[in-house]
Amino acid sequence: MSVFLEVSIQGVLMGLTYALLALGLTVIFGVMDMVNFAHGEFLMIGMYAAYLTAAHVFPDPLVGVPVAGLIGLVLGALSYRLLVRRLLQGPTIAQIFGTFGLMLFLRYGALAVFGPNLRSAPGGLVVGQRLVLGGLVLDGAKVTAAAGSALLFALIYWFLQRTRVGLGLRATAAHREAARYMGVDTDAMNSIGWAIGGATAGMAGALLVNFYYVSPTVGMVFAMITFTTVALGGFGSVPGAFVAGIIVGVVEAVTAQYFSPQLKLAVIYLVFFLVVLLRPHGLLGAR
Amino acid sequence: MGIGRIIRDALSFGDLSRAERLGIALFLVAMAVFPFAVKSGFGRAVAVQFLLYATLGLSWNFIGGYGGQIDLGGAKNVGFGAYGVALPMLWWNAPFWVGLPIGVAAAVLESLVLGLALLRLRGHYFAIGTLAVALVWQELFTFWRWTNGARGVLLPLKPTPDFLYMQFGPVGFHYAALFLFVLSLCWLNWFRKSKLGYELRAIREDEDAAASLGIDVLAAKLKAYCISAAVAAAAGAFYAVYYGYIDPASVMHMDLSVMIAMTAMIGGAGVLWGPVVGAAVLIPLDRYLGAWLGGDALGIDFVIYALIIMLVAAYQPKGVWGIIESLAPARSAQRNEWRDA
Amino acid sequence: MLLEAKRIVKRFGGLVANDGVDLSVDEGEIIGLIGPNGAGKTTLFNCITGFLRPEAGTIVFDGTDITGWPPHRVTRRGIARTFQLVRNMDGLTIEENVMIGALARTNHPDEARRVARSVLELVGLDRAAHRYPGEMPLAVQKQMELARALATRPRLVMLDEVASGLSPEEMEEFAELVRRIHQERRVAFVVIEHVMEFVLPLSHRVLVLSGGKPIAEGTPEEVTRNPAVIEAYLGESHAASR
Ligand SMILES: Nc1ncnc2c1ncn2[C@@H]1O[C@H](COP(=O)(O)OP(=O)(O)OP(=O)(O)O)[C@@H](O)[C@H]1O
Ligand SMILES: [Mg+2]
Repeated sequence: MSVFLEVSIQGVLMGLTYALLALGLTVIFGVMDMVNFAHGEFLMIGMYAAYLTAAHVFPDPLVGVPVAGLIGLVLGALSYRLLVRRLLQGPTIAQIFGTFGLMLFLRYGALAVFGPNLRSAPGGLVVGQRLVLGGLVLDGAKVTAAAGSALLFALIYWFLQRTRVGLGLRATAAHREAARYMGVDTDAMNSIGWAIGGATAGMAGALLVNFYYVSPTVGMVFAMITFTTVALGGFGSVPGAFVAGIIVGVVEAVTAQYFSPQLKLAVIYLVFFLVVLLRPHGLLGAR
Repeated sequence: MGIGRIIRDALSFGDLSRAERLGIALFLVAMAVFPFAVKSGFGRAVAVQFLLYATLGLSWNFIGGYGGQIDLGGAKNVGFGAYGVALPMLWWNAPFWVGLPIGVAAAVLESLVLGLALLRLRGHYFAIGTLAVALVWQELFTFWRWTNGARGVLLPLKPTPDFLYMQFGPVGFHYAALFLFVLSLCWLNWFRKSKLGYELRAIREDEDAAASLGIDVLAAKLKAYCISAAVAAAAGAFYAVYYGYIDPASVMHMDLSVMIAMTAMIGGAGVLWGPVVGAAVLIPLDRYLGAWLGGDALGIDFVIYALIIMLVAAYQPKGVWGIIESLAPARSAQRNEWRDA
Repeated sequence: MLLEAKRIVKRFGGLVANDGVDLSVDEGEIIGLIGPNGAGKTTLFNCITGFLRPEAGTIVFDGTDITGWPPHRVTRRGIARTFQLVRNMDGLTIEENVMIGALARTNHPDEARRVARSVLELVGLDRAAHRYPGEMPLAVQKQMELARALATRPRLVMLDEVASGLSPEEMEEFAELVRRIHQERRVAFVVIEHVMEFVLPLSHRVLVLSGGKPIAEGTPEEVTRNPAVIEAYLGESHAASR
């Protein structure tokens, strides 16, 4: 029982980062009914940003968090301005291939630039720290990532609920045409949605670097986990992303503990599959 | 429906324009004499790979091109076809012709069962679903011991050319690949004129309208999905004997799924010879790029594909076919006028 | 009775879009279905044609209980429909669009093409057969949708706001077309419409829905004189409830 509890807590910690990742994807989906296949690559770029900052500027990936956030923000907004805006005029097939192409571009671009080797942070304030809470031993880096993710999630949630821009985003998500008639600049909202997506993914990546290796192909793994999370929480649902992130984190940790770490992705894909079939609109999805 | 009629439909290209028919004829002749004209091993290998990918692109067209269901998991079928040949050959020394039906049956059966679930998803959801399913298979084939895991399967080599095991020189492989390609092309040619083909096109345009016109949407998609799997698996079986070695990273990888879909998309999705054009662009590009850049420029090839695919998606979703169409607007207008009269 | 839908109930969350609606159609009858925005007219169509599954009620068509059947089976059984917002298949020519309908009754595309041509001739679209619907005016697209529905050889056609967006002349033409098809093919119709000038002269009988409930039924004259109907159309409460 105590092993199960410990595994579950590990899962919740990871799940908070998944929730942050899912938040970015779900905002884009909500605002424009579109899946960003490159979401995992935004995360990967954020990881490299934090890793490089730690390796060359200041030896702590935590310093890389704002850097990664900024890079992700610009990357997201640019992706929208240069590519996605054009894709919206085309058929669904073009939208799918378009952001899929962006994913390949970033992934293999990173491979060309950084090479295939796995890298990990050289050290840092929380890297490798052990946190002892009663009988529980936790990885300080994971706790930090979880806390940071939860904080950022709350911040974005506040932004969506309490600011004018947030209201515009929610209005666009609820009804694009109506929002436009009421004077919301929906094109700008799309840009902002992509910027939020990029920034949150980038910062999630930077937090992960404290305990996770970086490689050009790491994005796919997290992308699939994020798709699962978003599907589970309901495409477009922000509270859903939070709950589902934690569920996915726990399912992953439990699978790794009781079956095999190699199978954890297979189980997560299975969850995705079942969810989309049985509850197409997710646990907390709209409609 | 009589078998004679099916064969006639599969072999007749009468409804295409003169230029298209001429193009197809010239292309087939060129492919038929290719091994006599080109003696370099590299050139011949490029040709075989081209035919293989063109066949895979044709397989994608059934469900992705005509049906509009963006399948991003085509590699799993290639994997089933390849392992279907490789494992029985390894275990029991079973000939290619025994393994081929095993691989094809496995791919079709899997597509039938999972398709029943996957094909209820629409648009982006279906694309993600197929991606996930293919990734699971890759993971499982890497994880399992009975498939030889990540080590893959090295096919036992025969001392002499052997038709039963499909082992022969480059010329033999060329004609085998050409045969498979022509067979697939004819199948797709039948398909696009058949009831099923019309049903899939209707579904691509509007699923609800299709259902309201009496189309059993799920059943139609399922049929096309299984046909697509069968063709891809046959190509996978050929892949196994051609390369002599397979592993999950080569025959089940996402990159392969991407190449399959891209071949069709770049040439023109839902156009009979679209995948042929797509493969003619991509495969030589890939191989010559690889030869030119050498081993150290990892990833550059896919960066270039990615650029192409983004440009196509953003500016010309109909692919090369769309470019040709826009270059010859006068002709299509003429055709309309003539028919109106 | 050709169609008998009894006590249909359909909810969306808390909203009751159909609250015990009855609709019966006789062989060769033309029924008008009217009511303010959000009354539940389209929802009733969707329940009958299998796009939605009603929570309660039964639908019997030509002696067969078709409640809960999927759309394609309903169509093959003999009910065809059009959509409130035209649903062209823009990648297919008008002839091919209609062929898709004809394929509900045959396995041979050649045969379907013959049927499509004859239906296109009936609705007067034969000259536009090889054009794409997206490049044609709305009136043509609506005619094509009707042709497509007819090609499935239905005994009942359900039209959802076919006249909206048409000019008065086009509307008059469309009404003529419906009458002609009704006479030549003995097809029954259910016609949803907001434009009274179109639907009232066309209909033998009219059913009025409001807030998901049937509030009146009768001949066009009876219904227009009914105080409840006038109230439903003038009262603003329904507009606000959308
Ligand atoms: N799929 C759905 N999900 C949720 N609510 C729905 C759905 N379809 C319809 N509704 C709601 O049900 C009610 C009835 O809608 P319906 O489309 O049947 O009305 P209608 O009579 O056809 O109106 P109109 O004349 O505007 O077309 C409306 O309030 C509508 O918002
Ligand atoms: Mg309506």
